[in-house]
Amino acid sequence: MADTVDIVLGERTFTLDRNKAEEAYAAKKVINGRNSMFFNILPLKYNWAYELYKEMKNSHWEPAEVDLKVDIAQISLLDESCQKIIKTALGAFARSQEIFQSHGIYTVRDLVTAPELKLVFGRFVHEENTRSDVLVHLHGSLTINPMECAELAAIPAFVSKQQFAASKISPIDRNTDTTKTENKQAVARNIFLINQCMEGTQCFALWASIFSLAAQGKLPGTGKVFNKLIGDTTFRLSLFDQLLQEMVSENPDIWTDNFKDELIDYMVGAVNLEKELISALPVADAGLEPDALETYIEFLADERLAACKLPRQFHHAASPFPWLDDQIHLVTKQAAAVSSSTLNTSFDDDDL
Amino acid sequence: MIATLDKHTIPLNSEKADAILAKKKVIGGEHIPGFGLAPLKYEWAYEIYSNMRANHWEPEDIPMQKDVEQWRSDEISDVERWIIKMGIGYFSAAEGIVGDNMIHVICELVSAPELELVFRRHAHEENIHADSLVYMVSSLGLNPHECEAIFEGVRTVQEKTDFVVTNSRSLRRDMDMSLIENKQALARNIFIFGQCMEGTQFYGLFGMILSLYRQNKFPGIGQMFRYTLRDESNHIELLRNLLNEIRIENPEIWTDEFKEDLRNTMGEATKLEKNFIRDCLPVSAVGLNIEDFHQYIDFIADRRLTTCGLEPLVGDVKNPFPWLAEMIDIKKEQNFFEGRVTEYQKSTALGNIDDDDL
Repeated sequence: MADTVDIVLGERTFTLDRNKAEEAYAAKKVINGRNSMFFNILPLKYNWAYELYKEMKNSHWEPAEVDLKVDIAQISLLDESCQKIIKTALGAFARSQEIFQSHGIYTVRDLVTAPELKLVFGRFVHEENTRSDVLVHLHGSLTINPMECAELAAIPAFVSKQQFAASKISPIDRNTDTTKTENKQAVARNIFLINQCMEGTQCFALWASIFSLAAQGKLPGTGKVFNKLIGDTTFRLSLFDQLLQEMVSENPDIWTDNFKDELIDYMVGAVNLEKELISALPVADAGLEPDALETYIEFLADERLAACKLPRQFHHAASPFPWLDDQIHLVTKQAAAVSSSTLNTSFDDDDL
Repeated sequence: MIATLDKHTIPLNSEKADAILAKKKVIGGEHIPGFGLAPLKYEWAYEIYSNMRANHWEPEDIPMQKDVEQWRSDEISDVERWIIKMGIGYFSAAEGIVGDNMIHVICELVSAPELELVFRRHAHEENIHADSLVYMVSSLGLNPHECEAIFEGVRTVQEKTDFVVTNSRSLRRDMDMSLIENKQALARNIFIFGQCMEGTQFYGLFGMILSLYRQNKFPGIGQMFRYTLRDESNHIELLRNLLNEIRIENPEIWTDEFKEDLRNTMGEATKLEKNFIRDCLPVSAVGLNIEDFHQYIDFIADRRLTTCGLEPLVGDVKNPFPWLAEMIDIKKEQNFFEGRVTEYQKSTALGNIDDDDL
């Protein structure tokens, strides 16, 4: 085929340059690719990113569509410690952007260059809005004062999470020179910390408590809302797993043994932080055995590590709560577990 | 006290609510930890957000079967095919530029939760528009290189792009937002993106594609552009309201000199758009003439200026394309549209359903 094609239209001639177009494709990279504000998504280089975007949009949901009638009737009848769990969860959830330091995702979007990656990152702005819609729907329907929830979530267990993330995250910005190995590692570190360590393991003691209550028929609508929210989180985790792999394959200088050890240490630190939260919450009153929940967090952390091709650290043979795997959309890479659930595993979405 | 949002009433502590309100400013506002949406300060922002959310659409809602048939048939001329490729090529770049500016300039500078919310939605809609172009390319089986490359090296397109990109890039730095010139720089960015680009410079190609649609050519593509235009009309209003709030909160920026500067900026935008129409758009192929098209650009530019409290550039311009306003006004079909969205959600729940079934 010719390298250029001339298209004549009236008095004008447009020249299409095949080589230029192909160069544009070759210049697509996770970082340090052609830097453009243009949104020329096609031709796709990272097919998985567009596939993931399609999955995300096919899972589009509106919080207000989740029926909370049963929850509204139940909320004031719940015992005090269950109310405390729900309110703490709402307070922590409202602050999760600060706790997880997730605004760092915008910096990553700015540094990433391929348009199809920017497209799938673009879902994040929508998911942040969904979180806001969830708070309006839950606070408004259940008539819970958000300020009361904020006070409950001001306990040290959350403060130490936020401090952990803030102290470990690298100070990168749009001007960071991402051709240097240490800066590439800084991007990879922030991706791993924000998503796998923070979003991927933190506050699961709260989410698990909500799912446990819902499985007992308590606040089933709220359970459904959080089930959907963790679904969004799971897509994000998948995006960042794959992004990290792609970055590493394009920039093998990132993936040194020292760097891998550093990431593993962060995950171990994150597990300890979540154990701190478990001991600060009346999880047993929500039907969860604290020791088993701690084991679950370790199991979850191993899954997050494995997704990033990092070695497992806790080596539990099976999930202690297989029913919870379903609720948090965890497709375990471990062999199928024999049921050791302490809850009714016949729990079905349809019951909600 | 209570706050009202989406027909919900949310209980709040009065003192803390006052503290939240005091932190809300467009420029120089403070970050509010936790749930700071209620009480609202910028009610218009939440109202427009609710409206945008209710208008949610996905490209696959719109069947492309007729478009594909027409594309392959000889009832369509090469010039008409070319117009579609131009539309796809131009907006693939332009939607990206707008979305990027929303995320990395506007969202970084605003802090009131209702403003963050509505501008994140704005950025999300640019994503949907970009995705609709991907859907058009893949449905028609176009070579994406071709659409992308159409505008390579075309000077009037390059000038249109530079006009917005240079401005957006100049704001991506740490700015001392207490300085008048920086406040004005932000206000100018908001004016350029809302009124000049989305509000005026999008309309050359919108006009071309919608005049094809008016002749029953490419109904799916035309429908997607109508939805896009409905979204754009929200964006224009949203950015106009933001500019207005900045002016109210920072009256010192609104000098005669600055107002003249904004008018001149619009003058530059219309000049670039007219050059683009002259050089790139085969207007006679859709039964229009270039004088009317230029007049249309003057007409909407004046409307953008006067709604921002600025003097018009030309004044007394008649709308030569009243039909275009009707194309854009799809509010009367809202029920029909909402019906489709529900259908779409059902269909995704069922898995793969053929376009034909929708």
